[in-house]
Amino acid sequence: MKKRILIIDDNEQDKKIMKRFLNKAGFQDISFAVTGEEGLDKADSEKPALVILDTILPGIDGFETCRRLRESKKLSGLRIIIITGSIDAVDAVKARKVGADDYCAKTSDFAPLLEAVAGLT
Amino acid sequence: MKKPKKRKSKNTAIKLKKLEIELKEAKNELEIQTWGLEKTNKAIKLLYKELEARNKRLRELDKLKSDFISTVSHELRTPLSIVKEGINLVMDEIPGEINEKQKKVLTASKDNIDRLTRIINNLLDISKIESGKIELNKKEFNVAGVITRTINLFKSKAREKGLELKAEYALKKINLYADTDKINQIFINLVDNAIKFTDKGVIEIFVREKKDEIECVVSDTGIGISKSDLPRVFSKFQQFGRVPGAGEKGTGLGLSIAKGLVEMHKGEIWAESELGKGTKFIFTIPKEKTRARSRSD
Repeated sequence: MKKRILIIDDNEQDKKIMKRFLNKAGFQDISFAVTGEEGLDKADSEKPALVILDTILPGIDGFETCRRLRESKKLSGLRIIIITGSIDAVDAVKARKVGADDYCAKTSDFAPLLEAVAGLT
Repeated sequence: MKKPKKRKSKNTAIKLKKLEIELKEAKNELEIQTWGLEKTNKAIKLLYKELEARNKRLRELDKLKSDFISTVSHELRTPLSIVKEGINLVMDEIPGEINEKQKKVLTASKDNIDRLTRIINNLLDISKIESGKIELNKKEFNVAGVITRTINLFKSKAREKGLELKAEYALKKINLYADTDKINQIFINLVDNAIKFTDKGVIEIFVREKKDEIECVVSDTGIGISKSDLPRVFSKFQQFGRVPGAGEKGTGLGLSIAKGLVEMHKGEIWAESELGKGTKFIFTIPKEKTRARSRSD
């Protein structure tokens, strides 16, 4: 069985498309959060294998959410992908420093995301 | 004597350790920066590819639109010319006599059919320009001749509105290597536009020979174009400042066609205007070919 994925993004359109692509790739167990805070709670209770994080979120941003996810002792072995519509080298470095496993662009086919989740079974 | 030496070496060891830690940190930082740059580079490449694909799709759609317009326009022209022939026949009273009232009705119909024909022809022109189907038939000719032709064409129309229509050129003969018909069309569209939006005063054509190009100006003393409308003056189907019912209705395509034709010649066109005072349409046509020819002569 493929593992659980948590998507933290406030863009409805993006969430729908990501869900469709991930479903197609065999991931059926997908949950959503709109804010970083909500995402942290859900991660704690649902124990996903992967968190997909948008950079810009209402409340605490994606980077801070990522840092807190990494701090949580209960979530060891969690994979975190930071995904963004506005690519920036400074942001990429920041993503790495807060403990993200990958940093990729939101393209219309979400190919980089699928590539990143490919090894996750 | 031994002790201080030992301490010294101990100090060196600490210093080395410190340096080693610093080096490790720097290496770590470098790795993170490299990772960030690699990820960014990959993402930018992907986004660029996506942009290119979208661009290609847009161009395809644009071409589809042009093809559609040209097909539809062709299909419209035939029935339209048959209707027009019918009206002409009745107005010439060939099938039988008609009264003045009937004639008036038919005249209005005929005017609108003429307008529709103009719109269709313009649409065809613009779709040809946009799809790159027009080929330039370049040869050397005298611009003054083209201007004289344009003035003759609009003489009566200008006189009807009480406007003065004149041309002024520094030289009697200004040779240009370009497509004569297309250059003529540009002048026709600009002068037609000027007459339409001018109620009194002068419409003047200037031609100046510059170093690398020929600059043509069509100026009027008409209603002018406001600053906010100026950037959209060459867009398709834009008509500004029109008083309802005033003058002949246009197609909103004349200036777009003029712009397309100027750009086909690698020239530039722009407008300068002041509300209430008048408008100047200026276009340039590069004369590289002529120069190259005279040099090899």
